[in-house]
Amino acid sequence: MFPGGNGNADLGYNKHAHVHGLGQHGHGHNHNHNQFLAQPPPPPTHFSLPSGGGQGMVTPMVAAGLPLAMQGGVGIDWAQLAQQWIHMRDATPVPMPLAPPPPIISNLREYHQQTLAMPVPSVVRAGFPQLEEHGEADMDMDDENDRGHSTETPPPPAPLVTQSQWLAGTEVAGQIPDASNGAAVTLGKQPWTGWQMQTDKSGNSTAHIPSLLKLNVSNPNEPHQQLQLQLQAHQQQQQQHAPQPTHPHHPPAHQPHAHPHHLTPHTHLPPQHTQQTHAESGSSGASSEIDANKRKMLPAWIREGLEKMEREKQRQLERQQSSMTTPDVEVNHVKQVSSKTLTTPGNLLNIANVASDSEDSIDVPVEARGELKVQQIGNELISKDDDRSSSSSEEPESELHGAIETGNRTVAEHVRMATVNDVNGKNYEERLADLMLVVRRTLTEILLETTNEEIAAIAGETLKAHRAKASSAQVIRKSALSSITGNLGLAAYGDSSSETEDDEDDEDERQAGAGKDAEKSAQLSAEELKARIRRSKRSFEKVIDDIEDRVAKQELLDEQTLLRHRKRELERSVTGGGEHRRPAANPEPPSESASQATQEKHQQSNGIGDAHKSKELLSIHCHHLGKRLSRKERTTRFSDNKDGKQQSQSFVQQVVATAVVPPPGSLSNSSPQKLKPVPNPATNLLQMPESVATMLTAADKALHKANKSSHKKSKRRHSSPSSSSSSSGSSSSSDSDDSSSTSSGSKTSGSRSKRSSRHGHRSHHSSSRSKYERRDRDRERERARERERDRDRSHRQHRSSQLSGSHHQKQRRHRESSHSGEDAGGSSSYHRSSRQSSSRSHDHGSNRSHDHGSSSSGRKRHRTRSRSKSRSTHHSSSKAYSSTSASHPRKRH
Amino acid sequence: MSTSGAVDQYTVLTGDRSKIKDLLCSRLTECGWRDEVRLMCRNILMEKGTNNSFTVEQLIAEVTPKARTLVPDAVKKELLMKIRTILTEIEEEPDEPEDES
Repeated sequence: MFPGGNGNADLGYNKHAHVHGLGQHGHGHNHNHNQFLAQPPPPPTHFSLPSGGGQGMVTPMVAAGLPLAMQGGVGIDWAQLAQQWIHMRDATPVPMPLAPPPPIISNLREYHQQTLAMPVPSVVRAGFPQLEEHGEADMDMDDENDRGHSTETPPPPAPLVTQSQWLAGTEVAGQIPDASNGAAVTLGKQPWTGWQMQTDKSGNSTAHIPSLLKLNVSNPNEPHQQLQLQLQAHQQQQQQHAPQPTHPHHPPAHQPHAHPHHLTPHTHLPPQHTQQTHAESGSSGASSEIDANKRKMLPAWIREGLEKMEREKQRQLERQQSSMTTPDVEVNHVKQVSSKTLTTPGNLLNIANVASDSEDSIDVPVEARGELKVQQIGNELISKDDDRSSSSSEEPESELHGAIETGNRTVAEHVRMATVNDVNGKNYEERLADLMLVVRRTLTEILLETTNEEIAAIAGETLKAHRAKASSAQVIRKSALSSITGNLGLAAYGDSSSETEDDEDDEDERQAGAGKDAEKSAQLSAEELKARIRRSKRSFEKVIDDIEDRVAKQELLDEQTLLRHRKRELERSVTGGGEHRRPAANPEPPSESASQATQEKHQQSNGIGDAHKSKELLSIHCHHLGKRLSRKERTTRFSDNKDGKQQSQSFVQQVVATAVVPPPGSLSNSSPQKLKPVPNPATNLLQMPESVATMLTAADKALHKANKSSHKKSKRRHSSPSSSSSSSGSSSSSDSDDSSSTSSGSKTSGSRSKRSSRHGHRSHHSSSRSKYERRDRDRERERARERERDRDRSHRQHRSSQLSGSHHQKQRRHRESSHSGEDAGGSSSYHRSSRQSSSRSHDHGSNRSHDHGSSSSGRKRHRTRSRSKSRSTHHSSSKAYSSTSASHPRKRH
Repeated sequence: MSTSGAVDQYTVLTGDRSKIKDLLCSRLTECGWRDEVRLMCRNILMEKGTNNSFTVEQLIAEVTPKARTLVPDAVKKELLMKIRTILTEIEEEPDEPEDES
């Protein structure tokens, strides 16, 4: 706050100074005007006053002197006041009247009141005795009047000049009371006081020199300063208008006061100009003396004033130093100004202007200082704001960095967890898939690299070869041309045309040969390449086969590894323990055994494509079923595992059942080559026990029919007149023979009937055979049968003669059985063959009896074949047809 | 593990890549691929003429797409198998201690 307060005080002081200056100006103007008009009235009043008294006059002069000194210049006043105070204190011991001046300086109203209370006549009296004492003043007045006219004539046209004149006038007014006061106070010591005053004035002049420089420099160069001067003129005009009412208020008092002031400075001006140099040195000494000796004795208000003056001086010095930093131009200006001031009083006006400018400059720095402070404060605020912003930016940056770090950490953790999870959680299949991606990538990279390299190399080689061929072709052409040109040259020198013709022919042949060679080489190269390609492809086919085999094996291995890993994974997933693992291991052997069985059957059944395919399909199906069961068993519980076992057992049964199906086809296919009738019915019976009852019933029926037929035959034999001589045996023997023959014949006839039925089926199926082949076969069979019959007859004759026991019976049975078989075959052949064949009567008779038996037995056997009722009905109808057909030839016979 | 595995794979492949390249080159010569490419280049040059302006790069640009299609599939399969075996061996090595543990 103190600096601000000081600034306000300075502003008020400056305003007060301006007001005071204007007042002086007014006084001066009136003073000059009144001098010429009111010269006679002042002498009588002044002369009457000094004759009145001495002491009373001293005290008001002192009181009046102080305000006059105060009315003077700012710095000068303080110094002069200090000196006056010192001198008065030396002269007069009374300190009481010195107390009032400080409040006058601070407050304008009190100052005005005191100025109103000032005794003007006392001032006039003091001035008047000086004039009486100095009789030579009249001559000085004349010179001063002439100088005043010379100064007054140039200023009027320019307003700036007018301002300078007024300022000069104010300074002159200020100087006058100082001189008068000094003379009045120190009557006996005038030269010392004058010298001191001169030193002060010279110091002021020296102090104001840089401001003159500024003024001189600024006026021609800067228009802004001209504008400022105009503004100041306007302000001064306004101030001039303001003090006008004061003039009519105090016109009689100012007139006598102005006259002595005007006279006194004229007397002092020459010694000032003559002693400026001495005054400069003296001012520095005076200031030092005052400071060192008697500053402490001075009152507080004077000390403060002195301090202010010193501060202002320091500021001016600083400004001078700042101005001195500029080059020598300013130095030259300083010198010029100083010389001008020494020569002419007009420069004093410039000094006054400089003083005002200096005051203005003093004010501006204060404002500037404030602004600077504000700027500094603003800068501080800005800096603080910047610091805060930077700190805030740093904080979020740090936060961001922290967040980023935390994010990175979290990401790293996630990555670690992901990797761990991937490594732990990934199945073999997933790993394999990833691996395959890598594999394919590497494969593509390798293929691209190698193919690019190879292609580049091959392209380069082929291009070089092609260019070489082209160049060689050109060379050949050139050589040909050279040869032609050579011949032409030779032709020019040639002897005979025949030689030239021969050379031309040779050249043509050569060219043709070269062309052919080139074509051959080109063709051969292409052909060779193609041939190489073909050969390489053929040879590479083997390599391809090998590669494919390897690939297939690798695929199998991969499948196995996949299965293994799957099993392991399932085992790991199932954490039940050994119980679950044991049933998991158990079903593997049956599947393996089933697969082995299927493989063996596949190996056994060779040569049939359809069977092979079907078995392959079965094996595949079994394999898949085994896998499925194994998986199901592993995933399910212990109880479910039992179900799995049952399923596996049922599966085995199914496999066996499916295995049984192909043998019938194979057997049926192989039956024409191989004849194995005996084991088949046993297996059929074992497999089909239910059909036993039906067979037994059929057999019984057949027996009954056979008995009936035998009775009929015996009746027919007795009724027939032509009996054969061969039947010489007894009735008992014949009956027993017949019965035994019938029983054995039935068995053998049954088997043969089956054969015949099968033959019939084949004949029916193989209708494409020729009739002639059948006839030939039938004939051969008949011949064989006849031979056998002859042998049997010889054996019978021998046996009949012996008439032995069981052996004979067994032999007979065997023979009869064989004979009956032959007879049955003969009857069938007879029926089949044509009627053209002839036979003996004996053979015919025996044939008849045997034919009847064989037919009946065949019927029985045929009936026994029927497995179901529907089949039995069908066969019965067929048998009836056959019986009817058998009876017909008898009738014919 | 994945990063170390990748590094191991890379190191192993770099060592074996040259072998695989050699195998590929030999197979390409055996199957006649080189001869086919050479023939193709000659045909292109014959078509384009004997101008010197035709450059190697142009020839390569025209030949490469056709040549790549001519590589037999069997050769690719073989290479794929070998690369796979190498990588599976790499994977099996770290898997064994896990199986033991």
